[in-house]
Amino acid sequence: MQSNTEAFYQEQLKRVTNEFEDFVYIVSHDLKAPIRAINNLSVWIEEDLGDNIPEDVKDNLRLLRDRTERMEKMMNAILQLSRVGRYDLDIKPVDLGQILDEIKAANTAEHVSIHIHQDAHNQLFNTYFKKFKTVIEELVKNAVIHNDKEAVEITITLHYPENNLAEILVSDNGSGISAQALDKVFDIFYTGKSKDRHNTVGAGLAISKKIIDFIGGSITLESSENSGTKFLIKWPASTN
Amino acid sequence: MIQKVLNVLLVEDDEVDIMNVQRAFKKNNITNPLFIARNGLEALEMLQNGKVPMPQIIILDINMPKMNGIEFLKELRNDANLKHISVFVMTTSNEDSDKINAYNLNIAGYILKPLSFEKFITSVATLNSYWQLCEPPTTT
Repeated sequence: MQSNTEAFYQEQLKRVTNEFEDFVYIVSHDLKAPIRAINNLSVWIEEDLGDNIPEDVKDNLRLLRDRTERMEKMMNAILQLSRVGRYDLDIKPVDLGQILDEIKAANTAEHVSIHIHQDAHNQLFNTYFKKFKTVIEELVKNAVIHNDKEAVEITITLHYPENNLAEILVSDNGSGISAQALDKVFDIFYTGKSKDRHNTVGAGLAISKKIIDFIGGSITLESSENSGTKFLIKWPASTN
Repeated sequence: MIQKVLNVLLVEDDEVDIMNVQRAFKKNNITNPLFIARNGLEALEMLQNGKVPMPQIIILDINMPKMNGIEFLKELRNDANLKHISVFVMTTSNEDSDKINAYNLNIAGYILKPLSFEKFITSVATLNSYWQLCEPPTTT
């Protein structure tokens, strides 16, 4: 009897979760159409007014478009968040170190240096490799955005202390996170500084956290203001 | 070279999106006659009853009231007089299922409506030069 009730509630939970994800998908998708229309109309107004537009009107039109673009980015982030449980679900044996090397190679910003240390060279792990890449990319992006130094230093350490769990430490020399903000950084759309100053909507860490929860890992962080940030990830990955 | 005059039918329910296509045509000096239907049902009626000159190209939205784009495509491909028409889907739907369904119904292309008007203009200009290069089927 007990297990029947449990199965019933499990089924309910699954149904409600699916409904919720469908809802988020449809809403964020359909809301994009009016945003696009507002953006287009503002371009047309500017075009139709011709060459004699006062500077302050131009500024306002630019701000209007800037905000519609931000809103679209936010919609895309919600979409991405709602898709964590149903996209990039392929599991295959991969060399996690190689994925880190690829991320390092893709970094073309001259002021950013990525250092990689690993004790699991050429070892193959069965895991959600696409999700792994997304999470590390988001953490690197985060480290670059929240950095006030001229030279951005990011260190990624891949360690494999026990079976079925890889540890990844991502640390940076950035501006750090204040004690009050520590428990907010994984909230969707939370940004440490104004969204005007950094070109971000504050979704990367929320998406990373959702991915890590989904695969049954964990993410913790250590930081204080002006002393950089360290993220420690425990990532389920088996070698057989 | 003789300039081919290709009629274009736009099936779209959103007024701003219709203006978008019209402005993009104008900006690129695309002078092809452009006809408009507000949903799949209206488009089908217009085509079957000869209310518009036979278009060679249809630009089709997917999410529409009454008859959506995929339903419209199915009807179009089942109609001997209409099934030759080239259809470009132009939609916000990035869903794999919509793409697969549309390509299975023999579409010429699937274009995502971008936020940026500039990108949209480029898509329309590309469509136009494509049709300048290709030989369209002769219609009766």
